[in-house]
Amino acid sequence: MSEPERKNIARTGAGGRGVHDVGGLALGPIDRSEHDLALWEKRTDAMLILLRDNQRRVLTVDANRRMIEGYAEQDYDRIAYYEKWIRAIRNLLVEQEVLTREEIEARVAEVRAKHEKAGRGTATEGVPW
Amino acid sequence: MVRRVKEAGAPTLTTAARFVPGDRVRVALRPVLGHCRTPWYLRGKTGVVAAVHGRFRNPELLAYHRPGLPARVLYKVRFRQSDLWSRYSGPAGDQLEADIYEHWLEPEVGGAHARSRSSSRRA
Repeated sequence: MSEPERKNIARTGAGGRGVHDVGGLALGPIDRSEHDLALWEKRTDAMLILLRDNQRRVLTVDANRRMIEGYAEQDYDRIAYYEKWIRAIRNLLVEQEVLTREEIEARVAEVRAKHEKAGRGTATEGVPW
Repeated sequence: MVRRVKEAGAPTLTTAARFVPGDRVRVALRPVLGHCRTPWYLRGKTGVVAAVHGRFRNPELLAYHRPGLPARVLYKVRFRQSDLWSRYSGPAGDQLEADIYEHWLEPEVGGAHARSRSSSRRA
């Protein structure tokens, strides 16, 4: 199944509210079609659950939301659900000083090189910070 | 309603909720800085307390890695759809329920309970 079509919401008259706080704004009908989750999406979900458990307590769902709410409008509407999650998790790991930005970028480059060497396709653009 | 909850790292707390089911309440109309669970479309609107869920750590603080204490009482508040949307065209009895924390609720003057309590709400 394909990804649902993403629309941009005009937030006219919505001054002062969060980018995510769109209840009541006109967006037309909701696309309720389901799509299968990719492996990375399932892993992202699992990672959030592990990072917030009682043993680790690296982040909270609330902090994850706060990070997601930090997007600009255009990006918030364009970017898919789990991409919002993975960016938030990565940024919170840096904010909480579990990993440094340099460590993450070095590891991403390593994994990218490994896949390219094996002839597997990799994403052409990274997830912006 | 009195709830007894044990908070991690805090003594056992016994705290009465400020509102009880049936109370008329108004959602505070104030600007927000940072993470907040009270939706924009409910701010300044009047509803009725439908249930007291209990006490929970404050998500507005948890979002910044704070302990979120003191825990806040969370209510289920019921609104009339026609009070929320100026051009609501559904049946007149339609309602909407939302979970709202106590620090976002003010007693609504005119409610039975509000009259028996000291109201700090400005006119």
